[in-house]
Amino acid sequence: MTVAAHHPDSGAGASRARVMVVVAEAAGDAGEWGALMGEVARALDLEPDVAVLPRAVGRRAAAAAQLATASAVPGPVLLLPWRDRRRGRGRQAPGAELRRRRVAALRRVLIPSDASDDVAEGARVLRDRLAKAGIRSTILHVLTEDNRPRMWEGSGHHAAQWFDEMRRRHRAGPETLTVVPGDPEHELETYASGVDLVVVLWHHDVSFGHAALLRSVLGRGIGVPHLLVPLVWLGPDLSPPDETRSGGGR
Amino acid sequence: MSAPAPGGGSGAASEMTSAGALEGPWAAAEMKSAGALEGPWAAAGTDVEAVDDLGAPDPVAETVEAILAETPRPEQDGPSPWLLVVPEGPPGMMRVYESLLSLSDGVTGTRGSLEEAGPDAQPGVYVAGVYDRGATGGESLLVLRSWATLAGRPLSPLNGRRVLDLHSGVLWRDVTADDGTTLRTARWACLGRPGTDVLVAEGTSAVLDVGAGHELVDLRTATGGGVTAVVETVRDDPGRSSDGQVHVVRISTFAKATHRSPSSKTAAAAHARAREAGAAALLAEQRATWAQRWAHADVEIVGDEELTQGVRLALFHIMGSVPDRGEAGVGARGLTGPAYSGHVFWDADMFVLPVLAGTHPAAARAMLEYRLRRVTAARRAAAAAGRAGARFPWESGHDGDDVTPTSGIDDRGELVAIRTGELEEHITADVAWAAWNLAAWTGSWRFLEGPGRVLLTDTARYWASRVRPDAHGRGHIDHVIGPDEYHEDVDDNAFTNQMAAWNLRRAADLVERRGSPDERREAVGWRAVAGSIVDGYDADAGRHVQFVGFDALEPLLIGDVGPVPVAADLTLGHQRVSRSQIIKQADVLMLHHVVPPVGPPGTLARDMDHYLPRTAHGSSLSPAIHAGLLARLGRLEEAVSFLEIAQRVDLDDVTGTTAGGLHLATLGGLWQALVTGFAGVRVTGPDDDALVVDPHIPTHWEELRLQLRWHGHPVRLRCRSDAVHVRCTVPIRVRLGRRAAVVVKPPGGWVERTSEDLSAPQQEVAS
Repeated sequence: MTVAAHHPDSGAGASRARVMVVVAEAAGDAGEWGALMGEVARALDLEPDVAVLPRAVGRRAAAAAQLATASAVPGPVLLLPWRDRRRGRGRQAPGAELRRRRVAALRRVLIPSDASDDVAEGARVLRDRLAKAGIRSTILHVLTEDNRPRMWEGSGHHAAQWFDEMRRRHRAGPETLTVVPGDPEHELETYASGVDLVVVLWHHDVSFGHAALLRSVLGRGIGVPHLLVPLVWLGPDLSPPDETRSGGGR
Repeated sequence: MSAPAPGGGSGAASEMTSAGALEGPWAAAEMKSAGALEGPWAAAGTDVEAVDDLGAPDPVAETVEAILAETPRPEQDGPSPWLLVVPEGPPGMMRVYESLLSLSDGVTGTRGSLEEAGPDAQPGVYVAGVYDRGATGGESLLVLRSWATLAGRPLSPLNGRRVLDLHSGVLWRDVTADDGTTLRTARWACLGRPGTDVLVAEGTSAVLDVGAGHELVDLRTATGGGVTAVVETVRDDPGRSSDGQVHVVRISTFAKATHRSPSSKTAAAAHARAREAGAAALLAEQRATWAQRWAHADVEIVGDEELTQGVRLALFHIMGSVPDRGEAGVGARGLTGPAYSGHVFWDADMFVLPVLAGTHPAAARAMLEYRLRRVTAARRAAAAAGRAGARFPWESGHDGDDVTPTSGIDDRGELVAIRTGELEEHITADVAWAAWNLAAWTGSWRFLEGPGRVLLTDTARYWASRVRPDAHGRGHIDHVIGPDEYHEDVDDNAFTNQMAAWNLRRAADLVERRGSPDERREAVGWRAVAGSIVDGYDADAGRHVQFVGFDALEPLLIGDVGPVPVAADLTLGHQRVSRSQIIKQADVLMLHHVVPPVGPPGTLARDMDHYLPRTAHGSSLSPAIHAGLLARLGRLEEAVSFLEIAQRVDLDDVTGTTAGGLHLATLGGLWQALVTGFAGVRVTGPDDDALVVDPHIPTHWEELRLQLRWHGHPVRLRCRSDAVHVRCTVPIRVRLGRRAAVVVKPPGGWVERTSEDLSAPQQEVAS
């Protein structure tokens, strides 16, 4: 089964399609996650279309298949947690106890952001969209060696201004933006354990040097569904296809 | 060009109401916005003649078009030394650009937000010295709604850019939206009429949905001050436009009072005068006023246009942020943004003030007036600590009480204790240094012997009571934070101790020169205390030890942490960095910058060799100071490297906080690095008998040109590695490096180094 066969709008001109491809490892998975799938689809006004991957042995193989599928689909892709077919054969992936936590209802969403212009904008667009559907999202920014300021004048005023700017960049209040220093993989896994869905905005590029974090996260195995949203799918003004922007000044 | 009349083409009194563009509160604080046509301005507002001859050019359109025809068109390639050009995006830089494109006139500072603002914008007007208190009691500089915001549809720019003309202080904008609509604007804050701001705009009616009218504002703060303002908008008659273009002129005037209710008449009278002059005349006046300021302040690095633009941008914002009359409390971000709440730190006294002392002494004097009017509070603080004299606060706001927060968030957003207010005491000596620095540049004792006297004497009394003598007669200052804030609660910080000793000696100089017998006796004690204070100099090592125990800390080098600048406290964690030899910024080296020469000959080089490899430059104050000192040492490649870091701090948002305003101290440090470092200009006190110049010019610079005011007279220096050309209006004595002073007569001439000078090893020049 090829993904293209399951995606009616794939190909040129389909980048704004309202289809969400759901990637499952077994035919029954989609049914198990049906409630969540439906809520995501309704919140973002998408039409779910299930793609069942060939069975993969091991996390890395599964991750590679998931990523290959996502890169072949021009729109959002919902990755469902995979089954560990090597159960009992070696160590479990971190957070294994969380694996396949079936979510009856979509209440809490995590949206990681590297605070770059397009990701920040995309994160707040999706957050607002989900909020309209009554779904609470938290934007997570992990402060790393690569993205932290090269000068930090101290706690107090400087930190307050920096956090204020980070909130403005995401148009978020303290309650909807979490900033934490640390290792992105570790922090993502930690914060993902408390939500029902992780929404990953990505550049839709799996060539060498790209999507390293996503590759790594998937490689460790995901315990909750991940919705991968290509930034390009959000359109040039970073809004979903059916949404007309009403402001922003640019 | 005649002044555009209120009401413009409509001419109807009914349109003199508060227009839609001006709806909403001006500030978060409670305000009383008088209705349009109320108060003394009302009569003038109704005295409008309608322009009813449809065949004649509309006066508003004519004015706007004439002004916008002068929009600068800089070349796309390379930086222009007078023009800062920024694109319409990207969104992440929007608030950074707002800070960089701020326009200030000493009374108001207006962020360079887009006229249509939008949800990502952080527009605002900051009024110098007017603080308000929030619900939690913290003091912040008052922020008003921006006069430069125009109602209208947000634009989706297809192309466009803004150009800040540093020479005239005008911000120009020319944008075409993706639907073909256009918007062109020019705005400026009148340097010659502080508190008066002008905006002219031309755009389609869809973009410029602006009605005519005016609004009176009367705003009082919880600190007892306030602001009154008149904001008037005139526009042409849309019915007369053949091309659908709308033309708008807005003139705003602000009057402030820091400690009493402001008079509404002041803003109204200023507005009447501005309106009488008209936008075109105000623009001409603006150009002339800035040209006059630049004539005594310009810096040009011939051969490096980018650095030239950087230092001019620095000077532009410093000159705009500081008034030259009354008092000038200069916050860490000046009038360019809300960060640091407008609080006044040592940044003002040691980084900003010297720029003005050397170019526009009246503004430096106003900065010292701010301190003078808060001596009573400083005395209270000293008394509360059981000391004599005056102890200035680490962070100061409205009334001079310490407004340093005692807690704040760290990089994890977690609450931590802030101890700078309690321990960073060197600010008391820094204030004294600032007063002395002004006297040194002006060559006059008048201020120090007059109102400024207490800034030296009361601070000296504080230190005399603060120093702890030990059993051997040595004086110690325990429990402080030096400039290096990675290390808290240290004893005998070399910077603090030597600045305290310097403060005591200069106060003694002053009272010995003119003082009562009692004061002279007191001065003997001050000198004794100064002589007793341990200075941190380690004779065996030939360098200073930053504080007691520093050398025993974990011997990390900054190369172990990462390339500089690096936020070492975030990288290593606060605990580890505090237990290591990694320092945040110039500390011992800051001494060499402010009170040279320090220690025996060669000490600067040895201190540099020791501390530079340990410095993270985690503070924006650090690179410029190192640039200047490295230049003095002849390490020019490194010096230029640090100069470029300093120059890019705000342009590249290196701290991640430029959105909250520009780092005024960094900007001041840039000027100081060029003047005291690369040009080697040295002022030591009011009795200086010669202007000391000792240039260290990189080979790729053709010349470093400086406009200064020294001892009351304009001086223009053209510094080359082998000579200095001095242009002057009166005969002045100039000492080039170690050579004997020579007299340069007007209009000026070259002072050249000899081959012996050039071959001699680099040394500190004792003044």
